[in-house]
Amino acid sequence: MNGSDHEQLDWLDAATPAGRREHAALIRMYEVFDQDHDRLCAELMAALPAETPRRAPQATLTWPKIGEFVMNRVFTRRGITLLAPAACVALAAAVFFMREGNLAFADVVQRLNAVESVVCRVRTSIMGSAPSQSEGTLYFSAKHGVRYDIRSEGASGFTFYRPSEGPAVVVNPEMKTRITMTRADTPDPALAHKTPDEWIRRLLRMTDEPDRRLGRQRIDGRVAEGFELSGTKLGQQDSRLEGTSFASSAQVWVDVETELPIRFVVHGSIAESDAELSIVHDQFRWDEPVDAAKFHPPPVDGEFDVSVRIPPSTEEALIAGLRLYADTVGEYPSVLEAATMTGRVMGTLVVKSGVARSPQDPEFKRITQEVLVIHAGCEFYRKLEREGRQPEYFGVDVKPGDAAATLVRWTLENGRTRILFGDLRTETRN
Amino acid sequence: MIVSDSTLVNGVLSGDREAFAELYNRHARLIRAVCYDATHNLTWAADLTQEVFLRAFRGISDLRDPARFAPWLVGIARQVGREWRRAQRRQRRTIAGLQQEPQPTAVEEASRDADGVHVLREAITRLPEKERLALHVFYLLQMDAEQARGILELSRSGFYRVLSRVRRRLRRALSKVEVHP
Repeated sequence: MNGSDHEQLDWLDAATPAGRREHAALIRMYEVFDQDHDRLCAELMAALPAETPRRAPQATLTWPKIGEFVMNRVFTRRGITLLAPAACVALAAAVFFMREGNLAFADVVQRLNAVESVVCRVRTSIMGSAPSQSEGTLYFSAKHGVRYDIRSEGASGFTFYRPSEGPAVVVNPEMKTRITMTRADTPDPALAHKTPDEWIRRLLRMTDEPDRRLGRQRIDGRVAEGFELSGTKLGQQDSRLEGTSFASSAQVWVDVETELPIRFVVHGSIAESDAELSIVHDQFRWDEPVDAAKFHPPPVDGEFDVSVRIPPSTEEALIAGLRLYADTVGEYPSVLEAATMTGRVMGTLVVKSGVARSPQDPEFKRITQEVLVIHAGCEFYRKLEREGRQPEYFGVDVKPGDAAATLVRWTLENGRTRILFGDLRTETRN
Repeated sequence: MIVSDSTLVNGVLSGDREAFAELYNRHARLIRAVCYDATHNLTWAADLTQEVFLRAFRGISDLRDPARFAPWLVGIARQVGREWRRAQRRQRRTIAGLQQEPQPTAVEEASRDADGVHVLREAITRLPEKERLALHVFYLLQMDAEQARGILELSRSGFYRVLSRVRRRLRRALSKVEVHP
């Protein structure tokens, strides 16, 4: 930091003894990071690979079939469910890493473009204070869409459908419920930051080698060669500093004979919790014919339809979502993270209203619809970030009803500042 | 004249290893601080920093915008920190009670003994990640605010607002102890 910048900040503090001593203590504290710097630098330089890193070719990878399907959609469900189709697509991209040197890149692209469908088993384990396990089957078709059958330990299973046309549907056959999700507005593709398509876009851009080769081993009776990818390769360096929902590293095992992956393992963690997860994809069936009917849920007698509509992502939704959260939980969330917020509000409302934990209760449907405004509000905030409106959220320091404290602020298109106060009143200032 | 990170990155890609040494000289302190946030131990932080730079060297050709070297590097450091924590948890599960943690170095001990420094360090570990990083960037990087704010993806005024908020919080923590600068 140069001198003038220090001055800019110093004037805030220099007049007070507290400011001066804090500054001095900080300087002292940070001195420890200088320790052994020269020796460490010399050691690092000696340890660098002899080979000069080569600039990666700026290939533009397109994947008009499966890839396009995923990339053109914004998913609205949380990471665990979402990651599976993402990872599945990703693994095909990982075929890139099978070869070294003068890889015939065009051949790989051609191969990926030829993939029409994939079916695989997905096993998810969540470790942490609330461990759980689930197993499912993922169907992915360029033509028909996505279907994901999930069976969780100690809970009823459900199926997630996202047909190529029409809304996403979640069906729970045991509870005889069907949740159809539609949107009041068209999602902004740029809001895909925390969704799988963003991951895939990054992954598909990768042209580098894997971080590590894992050698060969027999998997399911086949000889497979393994590759490891760090989370950095998967675009983690660009994730937001707050509210990151998932970070990952991955291992891909490729059948040396067919040159197609036979196992793909992703490790990750979930923000705002101590939870870590691993997802294992295996039992792949590539380009197997899939029935179009698989991607459309059949009606079931006596089924209860919970059709919900995600409200438009607007300032009003942001305010309504924060109001709902504060009224229900009694405070503002520390981070604007939709999945965490809706989970907490939903749980509290269900308990408060005495709704039977059955989705067939009409009150349950009302609550489900009500909490979706939180999703819309959080999307609005992400949209502000994407548009460079410099939104800032101060929920950790603001109590509900505080008329003097700024809860959220952002820049308007005309350069003025929009402020949302703790009492959820808004004001525009120069 | 100060050579930009972007020029140095291009230098590395052209085979200039000294350019990478210069990048290390500029950013290693910040990366040590980020790694310290994960490990709370200077020795481990120094080790992880070496790993971060090794990965950066191997992956530098991935970097689409050389001007964004610093945020990219911080991203690697955060990932390495997460991997380290995960490995630690696994290790604790398998050999509970047998783990030997590196002893704090003399400098670390000395700094802990200094009035206020330990309190500050404790207070900093409780800061939200973004605020902690803003503080690290301000004190450890030899760059102007324009570049520094880029690491946090903030506006210049936003960067100073975050810093001001951090310093208010730290002042509250420091006010509880008698400090001799």
